[in-house]
Amino acid sequence: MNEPRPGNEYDLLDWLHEQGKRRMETAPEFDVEATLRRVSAARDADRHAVAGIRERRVSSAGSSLNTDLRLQAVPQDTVVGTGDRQLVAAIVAGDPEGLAEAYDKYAAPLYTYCRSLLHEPADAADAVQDTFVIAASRLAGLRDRDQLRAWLYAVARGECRRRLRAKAAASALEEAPEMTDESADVSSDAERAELRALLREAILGLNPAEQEVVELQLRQGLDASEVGDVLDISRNHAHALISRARDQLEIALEALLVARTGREDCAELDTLLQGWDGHLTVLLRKRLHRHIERCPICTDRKRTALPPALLL
Amino acid sequence: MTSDRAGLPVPGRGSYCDVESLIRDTHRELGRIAFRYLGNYADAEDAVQQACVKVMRCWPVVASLPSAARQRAYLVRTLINETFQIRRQAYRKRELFTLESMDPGWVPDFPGASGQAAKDDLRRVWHAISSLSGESREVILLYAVGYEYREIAEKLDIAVSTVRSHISLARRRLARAADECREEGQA
Repeated sequence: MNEPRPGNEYDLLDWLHEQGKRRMETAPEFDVEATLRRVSAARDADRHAVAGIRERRVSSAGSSLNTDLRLQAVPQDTVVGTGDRQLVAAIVAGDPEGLAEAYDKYAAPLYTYCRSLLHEPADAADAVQDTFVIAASRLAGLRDRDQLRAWLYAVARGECRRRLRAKAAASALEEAPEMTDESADVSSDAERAELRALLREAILGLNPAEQEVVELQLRQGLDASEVGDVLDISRNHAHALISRARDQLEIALEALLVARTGREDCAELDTLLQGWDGHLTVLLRKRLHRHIERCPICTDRKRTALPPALLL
Repeated sequence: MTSDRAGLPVPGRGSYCDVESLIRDTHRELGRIAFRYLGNYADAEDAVQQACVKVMRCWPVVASLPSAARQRAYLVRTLINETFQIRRQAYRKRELFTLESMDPGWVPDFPGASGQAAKDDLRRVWHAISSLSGESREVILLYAVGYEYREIAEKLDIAVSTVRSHISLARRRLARAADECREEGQA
């Protein structure tokens, strides 16, 4: 008991670090082949799930699943994509490899997208699976075969909306984008995590229609004509929606940053935020924006708080 | 259809072309990090495998990263998230069944401390670390596990100065957490 014991977290951290350094070499070896086996097993399982569902769909003509699919009308003239001609041809020809490739390529982004619309991770996963089931059976009707991506998004959107309607949850779309780390994992581009978290919060301050546009355009990276196709509106209309949604998002970001950082300097802002739970809502965004517009302190704060990189 | 990957993002020069070679290169490091933090072989192996599966599932995203370093960093970050999640689950289980089998990291042998007190201390630090967020948490975990600033910068593909500032920020937060803890104890 000669050595003094580390007294607080500060010392403990260094102590841990030193210990860790000394013991670095004692960590056991992990079997890389086992990991690779598990990865390839998971990949096979993913592909089988898709192929399996597809087979079930083919063999169960007239079942309830089939009825569901018929209800799910996909507008034939609203389809877009990029360089997927071969893939579409393979799927239409009934080649399971083609479907597996399409799945490899689009399942992860579609899942993120569905997560943004639905509450439950399980529901989102279902929606993605159903999207591919529909892809397998209806893709033949796709007129422009380069437009696979927008088509898949349109189908996924339809699937999500059907689920939301089924749950009779009118407010679900508005509340949905509370996403967890888990969903960020799937889509994340490891850097800029902070920025993404901030954006996610700011998006909550938009109305549902704007949220949807921002989700498609900013997070999923669809261009204006693709957004138009997904939402079944003209390209010009989509353009207008996007530009408005971006303006609103910028305002929401400003409001959020000021709300988070400026309470100490501005008494009025502080009163405005009494009992705030830290989440932005449409109403709060409007109030904050009005306040910031006429308050010189908060206008100043807005200028310093919003880093130029955030200006979209 | 041949397995010609037309349409996938073209990997940058020097990036990994497939998930297998990325895993082969990073695996040893992943195992060490997970083991240091989770304290037992089974959980660590689980974390590594789950992280690799996750990266496989979003490979198109990872493949389009501009450098191999960036891709490795992605995998390391995924692993760190995975370990935090596994640990949280382990805690929950222990709370439910009050099993004392869960080890707080690896067995502590603090100078001058022993038994439960040392375990509690250690648990408190890990808890404080896991309550940090984002990059800060990743950096501080790697530091606590025994890596030097330069190594951390390399693993996460960020600047050494960024590492330094994260660590000094986290120290201040930990110190504050310790103070609050003590005040609570007195109250």
